[in-house]
Amino acid sequence: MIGLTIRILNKTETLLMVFFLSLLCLLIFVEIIMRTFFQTGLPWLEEFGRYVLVLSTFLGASIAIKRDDHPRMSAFLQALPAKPRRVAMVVAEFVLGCFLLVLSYYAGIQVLNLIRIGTRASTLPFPLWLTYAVLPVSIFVMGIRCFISVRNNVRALRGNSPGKKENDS
Amino acid sequence: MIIVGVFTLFLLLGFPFAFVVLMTATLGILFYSGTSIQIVIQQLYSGLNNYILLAIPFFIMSGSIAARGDTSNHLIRVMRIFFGRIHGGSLIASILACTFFASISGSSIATIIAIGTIMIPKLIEEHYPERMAIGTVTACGTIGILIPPSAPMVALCVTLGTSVSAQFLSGFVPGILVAIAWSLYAYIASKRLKLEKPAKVPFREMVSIIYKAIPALLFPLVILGGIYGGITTPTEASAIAVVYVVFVEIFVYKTATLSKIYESLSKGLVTCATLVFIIACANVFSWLVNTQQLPVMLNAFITSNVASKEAFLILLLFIFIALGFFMDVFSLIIIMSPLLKPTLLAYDIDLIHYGLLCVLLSEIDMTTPPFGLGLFVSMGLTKKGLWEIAWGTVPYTLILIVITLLIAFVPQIALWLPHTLM
Repeated sequence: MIGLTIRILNKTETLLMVFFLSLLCLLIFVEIIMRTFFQTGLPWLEEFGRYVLVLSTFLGASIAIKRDDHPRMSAFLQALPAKPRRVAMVVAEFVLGCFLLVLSYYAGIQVLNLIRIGTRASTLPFPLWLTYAVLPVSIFVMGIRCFISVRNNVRALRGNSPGKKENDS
Repeated sequence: MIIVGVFTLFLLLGFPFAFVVLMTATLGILFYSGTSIQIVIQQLYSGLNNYILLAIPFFIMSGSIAARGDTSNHLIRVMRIFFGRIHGGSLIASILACTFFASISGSSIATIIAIGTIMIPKLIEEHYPERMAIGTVTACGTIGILIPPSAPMVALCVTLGTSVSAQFLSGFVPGILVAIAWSLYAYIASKRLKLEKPAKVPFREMVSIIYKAIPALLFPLVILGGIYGGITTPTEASAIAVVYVVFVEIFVYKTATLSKIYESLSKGLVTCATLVFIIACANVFSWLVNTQQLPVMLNAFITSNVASKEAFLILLLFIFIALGFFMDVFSLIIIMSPLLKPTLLAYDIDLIHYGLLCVLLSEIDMTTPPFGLGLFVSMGLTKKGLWEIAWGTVPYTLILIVITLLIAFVPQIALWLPHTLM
């Protein structure tokens, strides 16, 4: 059940990222046509575009943790023997996970503040907090993904290599 | 000093760059600035809240769709008509196809995949040594970020506050220079091999190949013509590029399906998000260093210790090339550039010139082992070992280093075109 939920979540993240960027592409194309041939435009498009970038970057950065796609310097770690390397990885991921959970708390506070103040987007018909909402959620998911990786590494340290299911998440 | 220590520790522990920067900045803000950590969230958000940055995902989208479609195949066939029959003709055709594909794609990874998937097996089939075939495409595919459009250039322009159009223009002359130098090397190196030349293409077939390639050949015109014809901004041009490539692949070449496109997009966009995410984290870092006056202090320190502009540039190039062996140097450049900006201006170094050097440096970095993104891509394509591929790229990387040094001392090579046209 948990495995299924995680898989649906993973798929949704990718889908949202690709969908919004593709939609934006089309809208920009339409806007250029409208501007060139009909002397009219979509005044809210620029603001919408910026929000799409925020959304897709955080979704992508979160997926990248799962796929281990974030660029990092592994030269030093690779020089270590297998066991100390795994221990270092566990420590690093644990610290990172804690940090991300704390950060997601502050991101949540930021969203609550915006709800309280009631700021609205300037050209789009929705409140500004909605555009911030992806931050606490995806930072929280990033943190959880770090902990899942810690769990897998600890299991591997104990001798039984992680099964297929854990790799899904 | 403490900040540098923490930064290095996190880096060595193998934290991803983005988080190294973010954690260091957060600790710095917590201990030095006396403001709430709330500012981290606000700066992360405002670092992304930028319309120009959107060009990065779009240029990567267009590149990754074209890489897996038929566009690259048509380009290669055209290049082979013109260069196939001279010594090393297929190598030269690969180099020039990379160069042309670079004007479609904003990323080197897409360029290596696009040309490598087709050309590496073909070169080996034509009896080029394996190491040479893989090395050529890997090294030459890195030109993807030098010839506009270029995702790293957009990233640099946003962090330095320079003009994307001018930065794009600065890549043309150096890009063509590099392609010519590489082709000359390929010619000389393969003259000794005495390989059989491919059969001559009949005139009729030539015309048909060129005719079929027209949509692919029109690409640069669509993108760059829009920007420099004053019709679109770089961001809009990048969106048009995506629409155009989807149209061509689905309706003209009829090779792509929506699910294929979705698959290549989801892969390309995640890699792209990691780059954009670094920019967001670097924004937090640069908020901290600016409120602490660090760039000014660094400027005072460097200008009092480094005698001349040339010495500074050499030092910078040397440090970045050396670090490039162990890490993705472009991420570091994005983080360091705001910090270095006052120093660059104090030495009277044009920021566009600096930007181009950074792009050349990250090109070199892609083929320097043990950490080279280009090498990793080719490992995935060919299932060969890292060092074997790296050996094949050595001559091309050396040529690139020489040209980088040349451009460092003769900025006009990069700046002539933007200064003339803008």
